[in-house]
Amino acid sequence: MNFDIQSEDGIEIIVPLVRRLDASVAAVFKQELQSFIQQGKHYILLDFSHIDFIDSSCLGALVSILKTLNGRGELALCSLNNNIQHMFKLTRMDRIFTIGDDRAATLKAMIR
Amino acid sequence: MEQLIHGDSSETMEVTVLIVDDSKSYRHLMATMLAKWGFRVFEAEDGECALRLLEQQPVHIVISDWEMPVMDGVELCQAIRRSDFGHYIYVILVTARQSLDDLLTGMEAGADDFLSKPVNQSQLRARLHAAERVLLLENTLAARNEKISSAYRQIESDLQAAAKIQHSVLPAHNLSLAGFEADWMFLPSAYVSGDLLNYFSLDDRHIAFFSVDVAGHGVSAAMLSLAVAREFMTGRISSQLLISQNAAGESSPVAPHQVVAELNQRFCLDNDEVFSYYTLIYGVIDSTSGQGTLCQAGHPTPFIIRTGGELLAVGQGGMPVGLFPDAEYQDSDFTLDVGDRLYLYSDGITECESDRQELYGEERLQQLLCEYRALAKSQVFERVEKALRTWHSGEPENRQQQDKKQSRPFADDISLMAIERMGILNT
Repeated sequence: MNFDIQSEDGIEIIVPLVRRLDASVAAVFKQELQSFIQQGKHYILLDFSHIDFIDSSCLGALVSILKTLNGRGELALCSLNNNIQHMFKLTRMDRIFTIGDDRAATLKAMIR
Repeated sequence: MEQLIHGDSSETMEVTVLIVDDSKSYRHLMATMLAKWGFRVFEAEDGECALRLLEQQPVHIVISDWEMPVMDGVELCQAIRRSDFGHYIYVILVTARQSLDDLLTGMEAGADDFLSKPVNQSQLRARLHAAERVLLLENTLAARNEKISSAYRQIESDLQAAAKIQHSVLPAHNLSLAGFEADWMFLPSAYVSGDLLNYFSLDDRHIAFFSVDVAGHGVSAAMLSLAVAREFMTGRISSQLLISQNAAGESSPVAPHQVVAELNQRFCLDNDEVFSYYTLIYGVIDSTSGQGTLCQAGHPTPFIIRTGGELLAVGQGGMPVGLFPDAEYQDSDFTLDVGDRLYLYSDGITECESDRQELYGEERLQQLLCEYRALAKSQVFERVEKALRTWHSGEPENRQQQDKKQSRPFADDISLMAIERMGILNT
């Protein structure tokens, strides 16, 4: 799985370069993000600008990553399309993750 | 004796060679030589005789002359490649021809090697050794393939058995309970599904229903879906999951949001890791009034289609089950009048992708169900399935393959249930 990775103000900005976050990539997706946390990178912004679709297995992976962080950092998401926003709302995950419209605004909210 | 090691085992077998030549004396000369080297030898005077013999005897190597009456070496070679003798036959063509064109003709016909006439003994020996190496490889491959195929058959039959078990948990089609009738559509993306649904009586007055979709799909999802179904099935008998009793001993249904919260506790196994979770709708209908309550836990929002075509979504969202132990859930109330249908469905429908990577979406499903609201439920499901297959394959219905198994499988499990209040319409 390909990612575009940048670092800004101590926040890792990770852009998954796939169209679908589904069961076929869930395990790798989770593993890659957890390896960031193991390296001590606890502030992560996931930029979804390339993602059209996320399924339940990748949503589960996101929750796993959040649990790995265990409050010692932040996992935020930005640039979600309408379908994905709807899914986050429906599953109440919009209350669990920090979600921003675009990268700049979300970064600002994370630094506070 | 020349022997081939059979497959992966240490079992060996005699290598048999068929000599095809119209000259009797030449055949005899070759046969004597090969027998001396330990091969089992057969003879044939032309291609046709050779083919007849190949059908009766297990031959590993054919050494055939090119020029022969009736059927020549090239034709024999082609005939061998067209037939299936259950194992590979190594063909050596013997010819005085030396041109590149001839060589190509022979190779295209399927010859493995060539020998020039007159045949040189040491050269023949070397060619036969090369043949044996190829045959040995072929044997090993065949044995491995057989092992893989037999493992595959075993897995397939296990999955078929598992699919049967899963189907046995589904309610009967058009099951009628206390003036309500439910029917459903269930399309696993593979043999078994992470979706499951049911519709059953809680007591004389109340009907309960659920629709569950375990994250992911395949065997592990199917196993969890059965575990969830079992909670519901045992919940109405032994424990107090679905029915509670007050101090006076009167029993009543437990509110759906409490049921879901309890299930969430039971399925949040680990605080630090998400192994698996599911989305769920659980609801109860009072059959005397048509009033119902349901709790939505991450599952797509159910909706009611009234006889007049009015559409009403029921639900206010909620967390999936098995992610956070302290999740809170809400109930949504609804009323079913005679002829109204409540539809529950899994996201396998709305997230079904077209060949142009567009999702089917909630609106298309609602429109379809609205349009077909006067049809029998089973007919509605037929139309929905057709519409989804057309959407998914990008081909019009008449061009879709007849055999559903051959068409592109759905990416996710699909399930849809309709619950209708029966009775006579007051008009």
